[in-house]
Amino acid sequence: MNGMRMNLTSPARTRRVRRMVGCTLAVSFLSIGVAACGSDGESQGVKTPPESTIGQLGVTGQWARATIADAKNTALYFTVVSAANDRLTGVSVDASVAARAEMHQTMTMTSDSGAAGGEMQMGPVDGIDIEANTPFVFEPGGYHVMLFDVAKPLVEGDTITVTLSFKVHGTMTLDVPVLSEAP
Amino acid sequence: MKLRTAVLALLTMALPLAACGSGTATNPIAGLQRDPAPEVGSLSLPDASAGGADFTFTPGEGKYLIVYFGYTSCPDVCPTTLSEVKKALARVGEQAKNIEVAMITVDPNRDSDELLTKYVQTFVKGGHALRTDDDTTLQKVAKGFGSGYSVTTNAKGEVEVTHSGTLYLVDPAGTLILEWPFGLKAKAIADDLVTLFGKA
Repeated sequence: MNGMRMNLTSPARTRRVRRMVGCTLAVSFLSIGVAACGSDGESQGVKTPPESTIGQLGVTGQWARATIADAKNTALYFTVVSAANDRLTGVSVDASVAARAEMHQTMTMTSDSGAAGGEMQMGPVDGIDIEANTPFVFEPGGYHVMLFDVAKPLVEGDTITVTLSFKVHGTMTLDVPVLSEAP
Repeated sequence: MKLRTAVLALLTMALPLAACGSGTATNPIAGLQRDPAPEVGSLSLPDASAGGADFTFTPGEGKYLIVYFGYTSCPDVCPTTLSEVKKALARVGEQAKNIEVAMITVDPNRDSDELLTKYVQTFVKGGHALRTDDDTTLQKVAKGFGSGYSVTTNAKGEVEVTHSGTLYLVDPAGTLILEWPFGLKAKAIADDLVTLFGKA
């Protein structure tokens, strides 16, 4: 199990994170609505909330996925950048939002069937080390915060409050907009 | 010397195309093709969105079928993938009426007929919700597609599900002709579909 996780945080993921970082920085620093790379106009009109900061740590690009039909679970995503090393130790939401929140990682297992992709599996993670000046990206298919058993459906346009606990920088309260798909 | 200048000129012209993402000048198929291509036309499952009627993986003349194995408690991978399918169909335009979408639940204990139907149809109008309580039947279908899944309960009593993140494309005769691995964007999927319809 651990071995598999090690494989997944290897170069492919690092590359993807770097690419994301490029676009994320372009958005946050140039304050333009549409990212320079990879956009085909689908993200136009989405309002990105302002960066939240505590000390030298910032969180950007936060969004939660609207619940689908009567499904009870959903996920939320964001990017953490810190000037100093830190560790994200916990994520929580009020019971009026969901029964509990957990940091998860989606992993792809190697395929033995000859099919295109291996099976995908989610697993909880205890915490996430944030390396100084290296954005850590929560994104679909990778790290995400899973919300279990929502109290009521999350609908596009809603905003939920999420609390992030960092070992060094302390606690941050984050307003997270609900979107029906990735911004 | 002249040749070298010409090569340099060509390279310079090509560079901007490669600057951000892939170019669109040529349109190679983004999906993967297995050799031999699996035949899935003889398989079937009950269609919960059609009162449990038998659903076979043979879309028929001029039609294609996109098949996905997932579950509705899936917070990350399934909605991400089905969102891309929805956007891909919007990009395809008029021909989208000839593309059917079916989601097969690998977690029938928690996914009711009604929930699964609402879930898939949130993304695709008229999407098929395929569900069986008979694991032998489900395994047979998954094996036919080369898809894998498992549903287990851990020590804390939580249900853990694994499933293939792949989208499968079935041609009119029931041959699995393409597989789109997890993470592929709507544009790539739509481009493949447009290419296929162009050939038909």
